Amino acid sequence: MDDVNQKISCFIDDELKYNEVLNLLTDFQLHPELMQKVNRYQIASMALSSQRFSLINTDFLASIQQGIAKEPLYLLAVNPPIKKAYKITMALAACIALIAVLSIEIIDNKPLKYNPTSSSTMATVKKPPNQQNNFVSATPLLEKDPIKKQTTNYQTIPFNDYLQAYNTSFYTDGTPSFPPYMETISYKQD
Amino acid sequence: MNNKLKISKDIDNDLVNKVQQGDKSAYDLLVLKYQYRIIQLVNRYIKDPSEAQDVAQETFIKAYRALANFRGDSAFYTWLYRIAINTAKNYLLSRSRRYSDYQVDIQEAEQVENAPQLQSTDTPECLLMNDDIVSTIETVIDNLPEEMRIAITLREFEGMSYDGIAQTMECPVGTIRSRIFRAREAIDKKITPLLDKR
Repeated sequence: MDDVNQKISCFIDDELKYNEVLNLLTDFQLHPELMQKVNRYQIASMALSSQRFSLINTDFLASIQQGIAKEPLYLLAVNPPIKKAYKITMALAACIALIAVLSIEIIDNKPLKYNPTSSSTMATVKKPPNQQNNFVSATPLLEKDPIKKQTTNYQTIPFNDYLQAYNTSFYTDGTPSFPPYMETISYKQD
Repeated sequence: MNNKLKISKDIDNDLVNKVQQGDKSAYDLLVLKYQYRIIQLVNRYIKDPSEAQDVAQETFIKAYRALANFRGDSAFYTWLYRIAINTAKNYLLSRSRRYSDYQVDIQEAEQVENAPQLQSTDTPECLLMNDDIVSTIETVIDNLPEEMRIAITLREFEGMSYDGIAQTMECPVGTIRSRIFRAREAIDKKITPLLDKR
């Protein structure tokens, strides 16, 4: 019994662990007289700290139990509450993952939003080797403009080459052997 | 946040979860834990002890009814504290409607929050009994072995945690638990006959 009383002493000081609190709850259910012990310890505690105490009616708890007995039982779904620490960890992990993806994208110097080589954005079309020559490079056109020539050499030309390499338009000489979904543009028209 | 407060908050939230899952007996523990604090709080507003206890009971019943809405964002006691104050104020307002000559002075109650000794309107018998018990407890404490006296004094007068007392007295927490418990048992043996006389 001393062990239970010691737990009561710790309980009123908020020094019990949760599993001990549950054990105490079982003890209270088996021995309701222990609740009087709680009252007396609390009286002593109040009298010491404030030199005053209130005597609680012996039926204080019983009246509350009676009042609650008429109330319906709570039967909420047993979902363990998501701890704040877990949420923070998940948010941090998401941020780190995002930063990692962005860093890789920046390092690879790839466009962030649209990647036409990606399997999810479009199916890759393999072009026959003999048709590679059908592409018309943008470079000669740019070289015709003497003003832009020098400024575009290092910036525009690679960009235009890039656009052509990933362009869905396919320049043909009229050969009708391309998939129907491709945009075809003929250039050797009569 | 203080570690001890955090543990207490966690335990309260765990008990609330148990109640929310249908275990009404878990609510008994919460009542036992906070009954004196709530009665003291209500006493600041309602000076009659029996009325204060009625209002405290109503507070706990109201809290139980509202428990489904408690999400644990604040500590359970903070939430209960607000319910108690509102219940006490509503009680005073309803009483003032019944007795028009009664002046409700809620502001006065709030101003004397930290001076509980000013709010007593106890009968002389109650005051005598109060003095009797307080002096008995003080005598018991004076006669306790020194290590027990220091432990209970640091706990009750200084409000220190067991860890803090253990550090101050340079001994294990388990020893402090035991010393405080034995001091309480010594007090309990002396005050039980006085309380039974009532």
